[in-house]
Amino acid sequence: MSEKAEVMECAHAREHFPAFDQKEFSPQVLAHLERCEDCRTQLAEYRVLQAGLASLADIDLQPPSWLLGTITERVAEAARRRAVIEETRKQLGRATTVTTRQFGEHRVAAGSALGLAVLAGAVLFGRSKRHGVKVAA
Amino acid sequence: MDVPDSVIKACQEGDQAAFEELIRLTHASVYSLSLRIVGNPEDAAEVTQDVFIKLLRVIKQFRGDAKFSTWLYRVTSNVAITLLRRRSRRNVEVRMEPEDWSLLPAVESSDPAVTAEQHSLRARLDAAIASLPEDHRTIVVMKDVYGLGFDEIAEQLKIQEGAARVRLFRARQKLRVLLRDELAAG
Ligand SMILES: [Zn+2]
Repeated sequence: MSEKAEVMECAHAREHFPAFDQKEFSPQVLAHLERCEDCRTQLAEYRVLQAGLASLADIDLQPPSWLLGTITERVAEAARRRAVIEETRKQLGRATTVTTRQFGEHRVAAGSALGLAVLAGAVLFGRSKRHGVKVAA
Repeated sequence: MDVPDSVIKACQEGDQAAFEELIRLTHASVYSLSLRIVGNPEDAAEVTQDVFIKLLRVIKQFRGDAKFSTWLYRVTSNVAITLLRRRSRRNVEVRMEPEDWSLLPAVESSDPAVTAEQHSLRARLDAAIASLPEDHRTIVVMKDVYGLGFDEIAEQLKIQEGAARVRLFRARQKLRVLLRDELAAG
């Protein structure tokens, strides 16, 4: 194979290496790997990279010393607030049904009260009108 | 990260002591993932606090069909990405210098398999990741370090899976070049 063709083959093969997974490589790429040591070396570097990156998840970085206390406090505060909101919501829920029920009753009451008021108003108005007429007269 | 099922279950039932235990057991992992995504300790601390406040609300949604750690990583990356978006809308990006990453102490591992050599590799990998542009950094951290799936990464970053894959490949290529000496020695 000419040198130029080989360089092209290497370049083509290497495009696939960042996939890490050899199962994703075409038969041409695999065949090239068989005969090209440079590409095998580069692929090996990707494998070391892959393993190194995966191992990072097991190494935690030291958080600032105040962080644990602050999280615990903020979470306790948030939990308290949630509890208050839930309690309020529950009570509001109860209050709402009570109000609706009472409003229902009130409506009946209000209805009759309005009736009475109209009646009373009519009576009073009539009386005052008569009275007014009387005064005016 | 190792959280007993009993602690998770108690948290889901609203047990406050259990929640404090959960915070104690996982806050360093949440902080580390946050820091690796947002790139500076102040924002990472803010993200970590917000993650646990969010957990109060959403921990009931964990159903045990994935590992708890994976689920928590998903919640964490989500909060971290939201912060990055807020920052970029305001055009501020605060990042530690890549070389400062080697100064960050790691939590002493109880696992004897984690050697001094791994700790120094850790510092160099973290520094290399930190030197990537934000979109490359985020995807490498989510996929290659914390093992999240392409589907959820694409969803969180609001890009197509194909685009996520291309971006990840570019990031890995850059990392290989940046770390060439170490990788060849390994
Ligand atoms: Zn080759």
